[in-house]
Amino acid sequence: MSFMVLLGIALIAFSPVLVLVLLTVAQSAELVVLLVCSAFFWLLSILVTSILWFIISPIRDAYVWAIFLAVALQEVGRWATYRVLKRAEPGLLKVADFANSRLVHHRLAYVSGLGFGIMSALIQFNPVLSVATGPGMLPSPGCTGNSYYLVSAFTICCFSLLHVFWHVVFSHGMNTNSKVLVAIVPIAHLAASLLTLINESGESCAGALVPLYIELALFGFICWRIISKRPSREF
Amino acid sequence: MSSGGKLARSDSTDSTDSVTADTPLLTPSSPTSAPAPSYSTTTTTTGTPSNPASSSSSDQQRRRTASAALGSSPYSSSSFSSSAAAAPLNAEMASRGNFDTQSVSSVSSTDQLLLSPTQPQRSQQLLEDAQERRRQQSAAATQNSQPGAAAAPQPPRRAVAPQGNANSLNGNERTDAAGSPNAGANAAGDAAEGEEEDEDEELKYGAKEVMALIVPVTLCMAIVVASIQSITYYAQDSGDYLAYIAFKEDSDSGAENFGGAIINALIIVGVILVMTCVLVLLYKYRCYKAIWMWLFLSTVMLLFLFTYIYLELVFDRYNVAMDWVTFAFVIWNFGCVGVVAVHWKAPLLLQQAYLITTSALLALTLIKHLPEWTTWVLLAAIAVYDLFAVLCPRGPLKVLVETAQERNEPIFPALIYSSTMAWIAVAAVDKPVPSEDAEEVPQLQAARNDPEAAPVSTAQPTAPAAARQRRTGTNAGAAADEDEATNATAAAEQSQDSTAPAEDDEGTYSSSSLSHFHACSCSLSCFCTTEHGVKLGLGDFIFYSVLVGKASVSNNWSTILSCFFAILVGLCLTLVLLAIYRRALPALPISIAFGLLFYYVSNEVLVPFNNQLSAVQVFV
Repeated sequence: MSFMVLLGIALIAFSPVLVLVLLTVAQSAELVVLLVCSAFFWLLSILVTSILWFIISPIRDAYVWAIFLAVALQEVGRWATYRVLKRAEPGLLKVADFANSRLVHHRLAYVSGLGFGIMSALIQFNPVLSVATGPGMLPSPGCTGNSYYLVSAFTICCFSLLHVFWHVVFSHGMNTNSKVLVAIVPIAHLAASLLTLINESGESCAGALVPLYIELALFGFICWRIISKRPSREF
Repeated sequence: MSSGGKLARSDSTDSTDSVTADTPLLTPSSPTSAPAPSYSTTTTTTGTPSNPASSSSSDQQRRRTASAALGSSPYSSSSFSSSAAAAPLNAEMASRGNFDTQSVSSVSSTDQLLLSPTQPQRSQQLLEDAQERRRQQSAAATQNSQPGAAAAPQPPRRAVAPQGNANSLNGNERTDAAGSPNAGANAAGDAAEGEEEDEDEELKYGAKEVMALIVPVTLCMAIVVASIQSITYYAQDSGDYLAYIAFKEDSDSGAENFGGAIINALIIVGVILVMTCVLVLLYKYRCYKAIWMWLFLSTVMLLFLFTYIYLELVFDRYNVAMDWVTFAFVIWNFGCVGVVAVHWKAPLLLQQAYLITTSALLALTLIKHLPEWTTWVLLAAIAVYDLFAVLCPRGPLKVLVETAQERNEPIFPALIYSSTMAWIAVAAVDKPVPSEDAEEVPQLQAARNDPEAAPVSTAQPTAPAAARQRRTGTNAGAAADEDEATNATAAAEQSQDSTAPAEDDEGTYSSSSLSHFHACSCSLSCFCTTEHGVKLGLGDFIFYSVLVGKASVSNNWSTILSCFFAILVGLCLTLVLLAIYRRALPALPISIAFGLLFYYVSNEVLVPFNNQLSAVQVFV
């Protein structure tokens, strides 16, 4: 039973990003390397976050501050990834066989966002995993009727996809000098993370999950608008 | 098991001591050195950023040739016109190209230092030869691409965007078509792009090669982690350590343990150093038989004894009952095939599989038979030692490399992981490059190819023509089908060529080609690059796996993943450095430093942080 549960929640959490990687990234060596590098940047930002969290002991139990810290550093990491990608882009564009696609900038941004999403999903799924391998069921603190694993898996899945969208929106905003698009990403990230505090307060699960998926749909829509727009002169 | 431990030690010494030989990186007569002449050629003739005029003229000549090849095919012209809209992008790319020129020229200037003084004139002449050949190739390419156009209504992928190189060509044309007001800057940009193409080829190569290394490294780590997670034997500290462990680390005091670990690590590194020196001396005085025997015995032991121990543990863990006859049969066959594959010949995939397996087994043994603290200190010490041995002027690996270069011969084919098949085919060509080059990557390959091919052929006049094999290795993934066809014809042309292997996708090769034309081998831990890619010493596999395996003893997947990604990114960074410095580089220091740092940070702070947030389902 416990193995079945583990498999189920792992698939819920990872199958979207896994399918995306297998279908869109795995064929191209350049993209895989890009994926690994952006995943590394996310890892770096979470490590710095945890170091700061460890050093500044007053915030250890104040989740709001931990969230602020984590979101800020992740956005810095996103910006750093964007800068590094910008530096490497001319070379990447020339050697890659998809270089003449007009969506190539979005594609690169998408892959680095996917790296962020995968890494965040992997790291945040680990505590769940270590609990889920044991016997028994753990109720979610928010909604005791549902299992902790299930709610976590759905949240992690949502976050991993949100990272993809955020990265595309962010890099489009940077490319077109659109302050709105650049600013919306950290705000949305902060909002999403703060929403998960509803779980902690023990009120309900839907209170966190439903807005999160609404945000996911919203950013999906924004990305779709960005990508379906005609290529502008700016980049 | 204690005997097993001792054996393990001696064996690990063997394999970790058998050292780098990266024969041809610097010698002009060998194929690996080929980038050097070709780069300096471009620098001396096509110029540096300081004189864009000469560079642009020569580059335009190059481009004209290439665009003649492309322009005659129907699709290329259409792709020119369709892409004219993207001019601003190209202006930007051109300006970026300028930046890249500088880096390329700095690279080539360092390369030039390594060449003999007569090289520039020679390469100048070679360049002229190359251009002459390129013209022939363009003609061939035209003929090649025309039938394809007639046959297929939908242009084949390679014809429209052949390997990104034609793309950059298109980029040049687009810049022209856009009619940039500043013609001089435009020409400079073109020149810069011409230079950049060389680097891009490296980059593309780099990404493919990184993948070709990431996959086996990942596999090796996966074997180790899975074994440690499922078989508790390797994780538990039973106290039977290697013979070199002076301090058992049974003290209560952390400082004392740490001091003991440092001494242990120093002893082990000292043993490795001594063994490496012995190997270098053996090599220096041409005791090849002794070296070969040494490596052969260590392989035999790894493949028979360690496999036996491992399989016994696996059967024990999964409660599989097996009689001794079957067991002996399995071990015998596995070991014999392995010895043949590693030391003689086998399909590439099989050989790679055996190399990965042996590395994983050795890593498991090291994890089992090293005390906790010693492992960590040893990893750091090995990384530092690696730095010293590969880079220091009197470092043993460096001496070995230089000796091998002087003799222009490979050593120790057994204990390296080579990512492609083409490394067997590093001999020369003394005929024009096959037409597939011109069709595929019109000018660049030719520019790289001819200057490099000619010196090699002067060095080894009887060597088999191998440019096509090189091509096969490089572009195996991208252009398999067409290449196969061309290969067939090329092979027919060169049928007198005894060492030219009958290559299929898996690649089978003859032992003579292995022993004679092996380009580059590293066994402790270094990267070296050949025309065909990057080779990674098995020592790197072992110590990466030791790091990840030791991290997995802690049984926390965040830590394992952190170490894994840290090592991969360290590998990528080392490859970037390899592209810059173009010499054998130690592969351990960056990866191990990242890995150790990430292990401790992850274990000490990330895991508690993560657990605390997860417990209340807060996600960041």
